[in-house]
Amino acid sequence: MTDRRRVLGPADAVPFTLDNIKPTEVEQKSLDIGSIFVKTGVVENANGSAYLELDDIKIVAIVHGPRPMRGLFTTSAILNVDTKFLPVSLCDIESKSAVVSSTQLTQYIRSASTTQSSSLQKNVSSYVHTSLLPSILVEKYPKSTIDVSISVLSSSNNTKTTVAAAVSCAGAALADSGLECTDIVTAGSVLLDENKATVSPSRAPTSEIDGVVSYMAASKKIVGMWIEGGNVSEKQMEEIFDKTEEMAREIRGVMHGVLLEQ
Amino acid sequence: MFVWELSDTSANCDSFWIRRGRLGSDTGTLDQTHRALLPSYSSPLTQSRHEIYSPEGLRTDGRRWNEIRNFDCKINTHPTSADGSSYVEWGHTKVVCTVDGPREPDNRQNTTDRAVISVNVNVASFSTETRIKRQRNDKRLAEMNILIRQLLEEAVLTKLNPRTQIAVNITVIAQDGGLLPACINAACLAMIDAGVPLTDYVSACSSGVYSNNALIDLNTLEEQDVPFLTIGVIGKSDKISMLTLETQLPMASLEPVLATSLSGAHAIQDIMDAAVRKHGKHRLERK
Amino acid sequence: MPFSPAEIDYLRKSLQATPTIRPDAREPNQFRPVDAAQNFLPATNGSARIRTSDGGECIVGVKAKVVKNSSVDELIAVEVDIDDIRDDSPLPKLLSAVLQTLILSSIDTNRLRLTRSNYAFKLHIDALVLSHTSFPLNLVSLAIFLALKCTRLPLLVSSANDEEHEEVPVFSDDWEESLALCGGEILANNSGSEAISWTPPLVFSLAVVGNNILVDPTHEEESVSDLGLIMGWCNGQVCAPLRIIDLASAGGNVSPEQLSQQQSMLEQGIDLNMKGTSRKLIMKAYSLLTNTAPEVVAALDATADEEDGALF
Repeated sequence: MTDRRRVLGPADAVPFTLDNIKPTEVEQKSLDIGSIFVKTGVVENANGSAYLELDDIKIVAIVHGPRPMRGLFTTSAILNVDTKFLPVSLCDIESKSAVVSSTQLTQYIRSASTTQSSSLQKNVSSYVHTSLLPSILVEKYPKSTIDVSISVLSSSNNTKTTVAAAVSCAGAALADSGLECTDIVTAGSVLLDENKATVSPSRAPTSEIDGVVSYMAASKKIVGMWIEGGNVSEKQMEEIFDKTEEMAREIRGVMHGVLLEQ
Repeated sequence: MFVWELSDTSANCDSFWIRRGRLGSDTGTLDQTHRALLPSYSSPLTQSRHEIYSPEGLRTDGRRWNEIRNFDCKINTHPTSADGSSYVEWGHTKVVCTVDGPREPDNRQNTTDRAVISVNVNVASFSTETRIKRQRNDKRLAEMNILIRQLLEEAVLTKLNPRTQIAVNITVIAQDGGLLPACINAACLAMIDAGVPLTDYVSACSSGVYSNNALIDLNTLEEQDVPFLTIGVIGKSDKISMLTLETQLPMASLEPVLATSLSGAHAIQDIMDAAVRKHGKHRLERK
Repeated sequence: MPFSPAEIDYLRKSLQATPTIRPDAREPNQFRPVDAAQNFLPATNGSARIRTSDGGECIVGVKAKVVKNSSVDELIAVEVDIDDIRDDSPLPKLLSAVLQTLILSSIDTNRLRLTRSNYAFKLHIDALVLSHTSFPLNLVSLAIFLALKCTRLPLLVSSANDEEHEEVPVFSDDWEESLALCGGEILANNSGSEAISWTPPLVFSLAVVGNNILVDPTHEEESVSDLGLIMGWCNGQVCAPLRIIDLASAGGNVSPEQLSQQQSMLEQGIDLNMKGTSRKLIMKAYSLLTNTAPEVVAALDATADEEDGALF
């Protein structure tokens, strides 16, 4: 009996499932940070914007500011950072497993599309905020707000790499916005296991140390640090700093090229 | 048929025998019941062997109808972080209270001629036997805040401190029945410690009825099974300043229950007075 | 409480000096004395209270719940509730997240296992910060340490092997037979490995002012700091989480008074904005902690071994 209430499509139509979608595992060379693409000025009606691709990660950062602020008089601008992981960002980065099942994916999509931002988004926002604040001369913009919106269109299995990309993208957007800054912030991520340190890792850590460190490369300052995963020895700290600094410098290099052209 | 005799409704400490004993004391019955209230992972069937009021006149924790639980109170427990503070342990219910004020009000709208009292009760998730995550807009807590505030407004001489605010923060870290009375008693003591002018002591006590027997000061098990009310009184008068009743109480039992709880509240005032005097003496001697 | 430009200047200059001069004349690696009490809530599996000398107070209660088919990541749930601050604002969320990752990465979850495949204990660690003047991380961490140290779990009397027949866990009613969470026996019982005891982890917040690192910063020291470092301590070593936070604005909560007082600062040329730091300073903080933290653990252990019971 034909079902008149629904639009069924052609006779040979098959229901769409997500079973046949799996994230690809890419073999990583330990010093290779993957392919980067940065472009600024991608959003026209914003003061500054940038689009960054790092392997599978695709992020857009938009800067609005300085925007006048009603009410309270403040002598410095207030920086607000908001991060959104779009439901389309394919991997279930909140769980530790690398393989995503269709049920996990549907759950994640459902949870990410609710209006309340998840704790991961809040965590990333606060990290990016801490990283960007030292670079902006906020005293030059009293009674204003500077709003940075980060949209993660596609992320990687490794949260820290996504965060590093987000910080770098936001840094590029700030540079594009013309706000007065002392330096440009970029970040690098690393995964340490017993044998080697992988820069810009793409797989989720199981019990290893992983971290992201933000740098203001020109003034050689560390402005953000987020390391997790158990005991860290001094040697491991040094290694984390070395590797993340390298990655941050490379990204900075690419960004210089892009900014000088435009 | 009434088993008890209502002979003396006025406050008289001698008519009540207050069972003294610390937690986990050597007293046989107290120890057993103490263990029964710990997180028990055995089946709930064990609870049926507790009779609310046995034929011999004993309750689940070994008390008689007119015995309140061990009431222990201390004032000035937080000398550095609050103007006034107190700590009340009533049976297993433990309540910390801090009072800040009189101080600059948050909004000046409604404070022109008197002090404004605000009460905030904060119940910890680990205070009950099963962990309950407190909801943000818990109606029951909001109601408790209002009840305590209205009672305190009767006793506090608010006209003496116009354009100020007195903030009362009550934190409940363990509850085993009698939460509202314990909070009120703690608030009164903390107010005294803060030096807020009061007309007299404010105390509260709950009591219920079980098959025509009035029972004073109920614990959690009894509160779940038995209709009860809570009253708040100011000073040793027979006037009731606050009364809450959330269950159905037979009319005939109303008078005995009220009388019982009034006596309980008066007895509590004596204990609180002793604690305040002790602290005062300690302060004077210390100089 | 907002500070005047003169106070800020005085604090910054004295804290940046070499050697650093702290307002209360402490060494950079000296902690303030705290008042500790534990095991005073019979309705919880473990409880502790810490009071600091600046009026901060935190009470922690640990409750264990039997859960079925739960993943290992979900066996510890930490919730920090700060009085006067809403639960969904950044500060409580940050503290809960930091403490949860810390404890989860440090504990051997076999301690919580009940049966081989299905049942386990889930620990709900609730921290109630009754009052605080400075960043409450140190306070809460110390209280959680003590609470976990005195946590006891009931003894399982039913079979632990439920791979063939599913069995609902049954426990002994005698509390004397309960096992300490941090003890060795519980690990030996559940996993058959040796009976090693566990020291709960700690996490510290350190203030960075100029070239100096300060341990256990007070409110004044925090408000003039360049930034704050969060460092964990577990198994005798520095461990994750390692983070940089903006201490001066208390991890995200900036009050209007704090914002509005900046004008006069600016006129005086005092730079309040959060600054970056160098790798050298972070490693300096690392070695400072390595030298100081063991004493803290030893002091807490000594408290834990004392007679417990009453709150006051």
